[in-house]
Amino acid sequence: MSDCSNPGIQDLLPDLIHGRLDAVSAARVEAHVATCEECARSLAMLRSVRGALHAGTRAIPAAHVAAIVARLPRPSAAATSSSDVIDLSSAREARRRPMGHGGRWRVAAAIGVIAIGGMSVTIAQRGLLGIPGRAPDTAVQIAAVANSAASERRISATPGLPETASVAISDAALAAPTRASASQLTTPVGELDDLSERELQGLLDGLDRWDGTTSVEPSPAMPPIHGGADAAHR
Amino acid sequence: MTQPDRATETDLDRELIARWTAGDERAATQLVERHATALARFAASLGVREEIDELVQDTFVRAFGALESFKGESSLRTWLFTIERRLVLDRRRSDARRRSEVLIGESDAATGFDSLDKVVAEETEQRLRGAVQRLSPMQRDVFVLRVSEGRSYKEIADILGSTEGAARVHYHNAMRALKEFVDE
Repeated sequence: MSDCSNPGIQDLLPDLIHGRLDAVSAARVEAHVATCEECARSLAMLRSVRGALHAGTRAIPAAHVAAIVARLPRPSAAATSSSDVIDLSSAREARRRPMGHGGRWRVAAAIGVIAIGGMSVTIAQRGLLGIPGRAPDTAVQIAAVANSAASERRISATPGLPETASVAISDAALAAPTRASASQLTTPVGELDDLSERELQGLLDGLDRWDGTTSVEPSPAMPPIHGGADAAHR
Repeated sequence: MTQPDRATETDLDRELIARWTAGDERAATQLVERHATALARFAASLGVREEIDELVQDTFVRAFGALESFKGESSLRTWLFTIERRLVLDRRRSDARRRSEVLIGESDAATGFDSLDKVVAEETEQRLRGAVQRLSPMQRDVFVLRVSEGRSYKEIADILGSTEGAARVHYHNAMRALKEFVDE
């Protein structure tokens, strides 16, 4: 049985502790507590228990916050433009955050389609289908030009990865869309998982601007297809 | 925090949710930072001792996966507490091993190098936490939400799937029991 002359005050003590009372109500409760031994005891116990419960919990470290955010399902209505998703001023932060599996598959699929499409164009251009064309081009390389050495920036590879895993992306290529034949983007040798989000986005941007033709010399790994217009008939 | 401040906090959460939905990943970081520690504290209050970080993570994943169902009728934190409590109950139902969580204080022992005052303070805190754990589950949950997290009776009722009247009764019963535990 409560000895308090105003039992309703007991209900308000947690609100007083958490600052949920307006000034008038807080003053009324405090004035009552000053004259009521039971409420004063209750308030002291509540403050001690709250302190004990809070003291037993450590703050969530920043690294764990980042891990939680990385696992969150992305909203379906999220903006997809690079200017909204990728913050160039926090590229280092974006690099530490891995791109989701969907993004990596998109890049891998895009490169694969380009490779197949490039080879098709190459074959067509070499007249294997009876259509005269230019000199053969490698199907895999996508060209992004570096206007000057000063504007070209090499993004360092993730520590521990071979240097060949790094990607050189030209500021000019990223900022000013041009015909893909005028730009050079070396495809990374390492796994797509090793690339940062910025690097992957750079690949995608290059693919978006590719017009289906290339003008670079074929790489040693893919010797040019020789033959004239009548090669198909040999 | 006065009532107007609580409304401001709710508005901020709504704004961050809207920004997240529009694709701003930084909004998600801010939301997690705002509520993660409270979720960890609530989980510990519910008696969870192992994998609290994972529980907090799962709570956020569930919440963000169902943001379209969050109507804003309660505060975001209330909603998160609701989700987390259900996850805790699911864990207990599916894993008997979780009963080790009722063991209080095994990791709270002070070292021999702590000052006497600190030792006494920590023992007092440990004793109070133990007293809270001795409450019945519903009394404990209501008490923790009311005293540790500052939730109103209405918010508590929403979280626990109960009524304001029942929450008030559980709270006062918890207070009575705690006073007896503390006086032992």
